[in-house]
Amino acid sequence: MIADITFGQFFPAKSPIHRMDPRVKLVLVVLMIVFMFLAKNFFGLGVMVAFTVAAMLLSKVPMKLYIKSVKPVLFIIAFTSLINLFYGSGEPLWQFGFLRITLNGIFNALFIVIRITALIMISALLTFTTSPTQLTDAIERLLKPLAKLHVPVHEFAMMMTIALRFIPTLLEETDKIMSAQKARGADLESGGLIDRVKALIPILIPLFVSAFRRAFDLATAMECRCYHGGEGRTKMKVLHVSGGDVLSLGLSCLACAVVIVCNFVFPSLR
Amino acid sequence: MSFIEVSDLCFGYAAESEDEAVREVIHHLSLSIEEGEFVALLGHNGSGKSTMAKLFNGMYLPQSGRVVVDGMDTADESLQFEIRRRVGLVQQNPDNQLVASIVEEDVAFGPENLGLPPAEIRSRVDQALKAVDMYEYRDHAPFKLSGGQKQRVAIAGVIAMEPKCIVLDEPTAMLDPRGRDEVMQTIRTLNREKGITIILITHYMDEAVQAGRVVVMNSGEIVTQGTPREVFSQVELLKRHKLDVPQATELMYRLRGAGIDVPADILDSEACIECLSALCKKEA
Amino acid sequence: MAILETKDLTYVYGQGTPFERTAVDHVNISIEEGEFLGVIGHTGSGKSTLIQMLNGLLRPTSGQVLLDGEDIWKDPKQIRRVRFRVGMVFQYPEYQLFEETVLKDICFGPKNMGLSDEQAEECARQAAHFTGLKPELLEKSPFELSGGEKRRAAIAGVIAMDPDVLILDEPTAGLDPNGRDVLLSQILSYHQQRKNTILLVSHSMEDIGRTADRLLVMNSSHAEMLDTTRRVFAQSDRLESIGLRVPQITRIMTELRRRGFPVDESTLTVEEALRQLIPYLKGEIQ
Repeated sequence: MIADITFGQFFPAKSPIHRMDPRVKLVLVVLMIVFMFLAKNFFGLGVMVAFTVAAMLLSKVPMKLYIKSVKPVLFIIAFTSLINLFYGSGEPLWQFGFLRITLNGIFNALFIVIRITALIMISALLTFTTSPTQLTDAIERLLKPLAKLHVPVHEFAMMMTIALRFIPTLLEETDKIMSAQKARGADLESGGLIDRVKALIPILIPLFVSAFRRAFDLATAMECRCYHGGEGRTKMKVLHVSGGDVLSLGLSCLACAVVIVCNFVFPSLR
Repeated sequence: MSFIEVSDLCFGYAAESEDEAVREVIHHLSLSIEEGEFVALLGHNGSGKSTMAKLFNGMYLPQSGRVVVDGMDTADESLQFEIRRRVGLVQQNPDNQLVASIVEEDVAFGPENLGLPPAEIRSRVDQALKAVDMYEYRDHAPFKLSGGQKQRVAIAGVIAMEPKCIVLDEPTAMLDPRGRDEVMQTIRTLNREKGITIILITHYMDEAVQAGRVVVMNSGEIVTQGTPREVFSQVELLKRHKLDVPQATELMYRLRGAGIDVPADILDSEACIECLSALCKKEA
Repeated sequence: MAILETKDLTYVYGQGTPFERTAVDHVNISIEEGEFLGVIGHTGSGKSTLIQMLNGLLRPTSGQVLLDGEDIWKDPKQIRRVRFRVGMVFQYPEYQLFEETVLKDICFGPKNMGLSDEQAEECARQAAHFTGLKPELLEKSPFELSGGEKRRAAIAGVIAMDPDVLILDEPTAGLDPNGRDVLLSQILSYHQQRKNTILLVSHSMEDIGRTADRLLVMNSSHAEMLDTTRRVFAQSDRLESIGLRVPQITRIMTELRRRGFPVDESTLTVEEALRQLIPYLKGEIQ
């Protein structure tokens, strides 16, 4: 029930985007985000948006889900665009006290709305089409060179893997403990802030105790299965950069180049 | 020499405070297990049977005495991984021993630690999942599986290391009857078809009955051992050690007590029914 | 008189989502005051969902739960009162312990009921006695207890609220045979002294055969049977068709009856079997 929601992010489907190497996907998404910020006018941003929309269409993930993913940040989008709306420069079109709207303000606000929405869409594209495990794997492999600098890359990835595995289990456990304490008359819903925080103790303590017990068992299981850190470890799944990956890499580099050209050719906003 | 040779083993947990003595759990225990055997280790909670589980693969080291696995002493740290890949351990709680959030990646965890080439890992994982009949679930998330299925994935994770022996520490204690049957079925198949040595630690009599040899433990010592028939006919002894016998065995035992001449080594309902009807026919 | 009744009780998980699943489907049962009711059924048969509706932890999608003839959801604000009257011990209840001492933990329920510290402590001590928890353990931390003791402490935490109906979801899961036998007889003697209604959910037919007066069989979201334990276990074929079994001793005796032994239709314990078999076998042999 609660667990279903957290895992709802990944949308399994058979699309070219799902098939892409997660490393390439991750790099591309980071690249796109950077260039969305670098774009200084509607032309450059338009290229990025077009690219994002094309990828979304290819992903076979229902558009409804993408639209839903904007919902939680709707307030932030509205807030930032409002501020931009009132802080534009140039001749005011409308003025009331210190509030004034200019043509430049409207453009700025619109630009911000498009940019943030596109950012969310492309991040959603990544999480919808890449399983958490693939993502962890991609991060571990991409950061591997850092291990030479004694950055604990493998340990970090292992922590991510274990966290992903145990989040649903612990959520379910929280559910159970809450029911058990409610059955003993625990009141979790009423009272002031202090009462509510106090009411959490009977839930948090058993949860911690259980998390430690699980950690202990898991450590035993891992040791029994010959775990000894990242050294000498191999992976079952080998990642291949395919022709499609190279193509999309090329296309996005091209798109990024266009953004830079647009920045020079067309006037910047603001 | 036997596959596992436990000789004069003593083990205790470290004292929690200074004035507390070391809690000795295993006292001068000797036991040998042959390759391909199916041994059930039976005892009530606190009899030391779960501690034994971790002594077989060197997770715990003996305080005195020796545990030798396939000719390797578990006290020799350089052999640690060699021993662990030969003797796998499956624990009680199926939720707490799976590492990855996808079934096949979890099964791959062990072989990956051994540093095997990817193609080899792939084929071992597929074979292990087929051996426990979970191949169709290879890309599922473990938390959506039933207890019995999770436990079978845990077993597959051990099989993928190609061990000679699997130690299972109360693998069915948290499962429902269906899950228990699934796991027991899997264990029997692995023992019969793959010749894997099984050490099953349990307090369920009906599971111990399926083993080739039953070893009964109490306060860190072996009380009795033998075939299930030999052991379960000693109803008095088992009850004294807080253990149970199947209802069929209990019935026969008490009929004998009432002066009716029936065999004591009856373990299941079929044998019990046949025996009683034969008794009446003979007399009639 | 019925203490708990359900009218077309239904519960649907994830209504309106693709994961929609009916866990309890139009269940009509009535639980008599003072009876010991066994509840059996497979995992996923709907029994957990059903019992959680009986004490108001889950709100029915449709239908009603009547406690003493009154809908428990008539005033949702008063639902906690229902939970005090219908006590619920979950599976592995030891995982809910949290207080510094066992005594304080057992007092949690009574205090939530609004009892004074003295009254709560009185209830707690009595409950500890019912579950066979030694008095010297009460001042210890619950985390220092053994597994079996923790289980008793957690059960005492519910008994301390002195519920009129006590629901126990697999109270003996994971205990060894001795621990299981002792706990079951403790529950039975509590039931006999307190004379309240008990619902025992269990996968162990042997345990059910030894304790329950009546038996509720849940199968794929429905109440498949509700009758005396004897009559339910007499229908071993029907139980087997839904993947459940009868106690081993019942099976043996049913088969012996089929083969012409003059024994009862349904035998629940080894003692009962001996009472019938010994005189008969002795007669036959002579």
